[in-house]
Amino acid sequence: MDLKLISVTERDSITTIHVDKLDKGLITMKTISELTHVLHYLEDESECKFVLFKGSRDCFGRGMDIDHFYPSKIDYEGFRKWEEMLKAIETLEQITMAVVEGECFGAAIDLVLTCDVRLASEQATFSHDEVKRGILPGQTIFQLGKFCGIGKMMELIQTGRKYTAREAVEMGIINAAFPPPKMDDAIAATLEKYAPVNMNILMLSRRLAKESFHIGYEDFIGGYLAAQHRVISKGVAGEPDPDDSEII
Amino acid sequence: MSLEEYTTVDTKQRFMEGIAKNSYPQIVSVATANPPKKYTQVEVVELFGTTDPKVIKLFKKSHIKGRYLYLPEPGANGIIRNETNHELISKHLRGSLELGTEVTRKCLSRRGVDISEIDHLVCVTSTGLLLPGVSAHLLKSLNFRKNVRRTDIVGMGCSAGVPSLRSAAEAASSGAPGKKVLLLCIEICSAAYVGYETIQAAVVNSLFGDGAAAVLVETQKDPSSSPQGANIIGFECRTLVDHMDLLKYDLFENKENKISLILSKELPYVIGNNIEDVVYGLLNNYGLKKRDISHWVIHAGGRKVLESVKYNLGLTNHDIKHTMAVHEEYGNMASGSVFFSFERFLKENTAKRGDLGVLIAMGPGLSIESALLMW
Repeated sequence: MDLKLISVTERDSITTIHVDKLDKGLITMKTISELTHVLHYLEDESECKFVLFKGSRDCFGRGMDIDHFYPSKIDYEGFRKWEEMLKAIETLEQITMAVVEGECFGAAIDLVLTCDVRLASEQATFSHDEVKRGILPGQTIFQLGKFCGIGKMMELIQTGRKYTAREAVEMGIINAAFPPPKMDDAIAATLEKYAPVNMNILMLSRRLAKESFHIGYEDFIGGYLAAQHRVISKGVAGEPDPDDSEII
Repeated sequence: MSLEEYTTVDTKQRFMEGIAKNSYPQIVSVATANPPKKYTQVEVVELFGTTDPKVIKLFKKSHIKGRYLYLPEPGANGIIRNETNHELISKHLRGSLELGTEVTRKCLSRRGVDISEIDHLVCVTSTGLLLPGVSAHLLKSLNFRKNVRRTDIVGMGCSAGVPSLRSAAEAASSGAPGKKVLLLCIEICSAAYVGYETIQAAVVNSLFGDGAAAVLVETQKDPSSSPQGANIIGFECRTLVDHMDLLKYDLFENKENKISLILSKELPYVIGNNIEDVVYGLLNNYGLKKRDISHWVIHAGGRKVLESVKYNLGLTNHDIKHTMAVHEEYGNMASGSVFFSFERFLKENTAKRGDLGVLIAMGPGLSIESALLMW
């Protein structure tokens, strides 16, 4: 596929997806198609350990191009494909990192929230401006509260107000913010911090962590034991010690 | 391979183009049936007069909300007496005929097929040994054609639904097109109950329910006509003989001299360790990726088995919601369970032309069976 709206660089164990050629920073079906192509490549062929999503210096993304998705009728298929693409990021077997410099609005924040690590430049600004544009926020409604709490989430999605990178860090939406000249060093240091992560457990720990928010302990424990067994039997060493209580 | 070299091959598209010319046996009707009475877990444990607090706790904290069972009426003390071997065997035959008849009529009427049109009857059960088998008894009580072929599949346990579907598909595909094969999975699990003398026996008694499923498989006389149901594309399986002892019948483990089911704690984890091999083996046979599969229907084996399958295959609760619902509302009905889940899925009416689905069942052997379907 000839990529027009995004570009990809691969260096050592890092694949960087540059989302920096979107027209006015808006996401269209073509954007989704190109991102999906790259995600399929990462799933099928790539042996990288890290996947970075980066925008340009002044824009990571400004949300969906509403006119593109429903000029005359609502393109549910388009919204569905965006949600499927986010799910594909969530199930990647690589550590994902969003690096936000500049404006990050609407659906672009969905992508950021899906990543394992979220870094921002101190000049980055955020806004869940869908409500101002007459549509609902997408997966943001499902994800954002887990990072900042329901109270803050309600304020942000119902007002659509802008907030800074510092505020985003304080709310837990972003892991850390850095002055622009220090971004590259910050990214490198973060990658080094995550380098020892056992890839075998990455996906499962990510999944279990997110599931812990919406299932009770009795439902969680069975999945945790199954996941732990997989990790041990496929990864490190030793026979697992099966749970002694309920058998099935 | 670099990104520049990588070409998105639409694996599903390629698969669809590859099979367009062939015609496959199709699942054109599914029906299920259960005994008239449903019991909650608390009712069951009270009816058996259990006082062991560990057993009571096990039943109460089960994810299974209720099961349909053929249980005898309690005595004056409100407790069911232990059934003899003879009573259990008789119950199995009686239940098989009752549920087999009901589910056959439902399945055929949904398709407007008369029983005399059935060319081959495949009967599956592992909860009672009859000679002659269930199929002969059903031939006697129902109006099958006098030259109907029949096959009894015994001893494959919970996984039997999928390999018996393979047998039905192969029978439908043999000879001239237009064949109709009726597959019946009839399990009277309450005919295999023993007392609660061990926690293991209690686990088994808390898990299994009675039920029957019928599946009508046809090949179309005109291969170019539109499909009438799910095309049965292919199968893949593994029998892990080194783990055979994890799930088996045993005559000698209880004081009642009844056949009892041995169910090992390791079972969910061994299945989890091996399920990828089977499922990816199935998909690789057709050049497909997991992302090409829209629908997953799995045998409701037990909570821990389902968790193990989910986390090893990367499936979500939504992916297996019909299986989870069947497990909660019916328990494990052995071979027919997978078709209870499949019937639920069909009723949802979400399968679109071109969708691909995978059926998975696991059982004694230790076997993991899978089938690829296409709408």
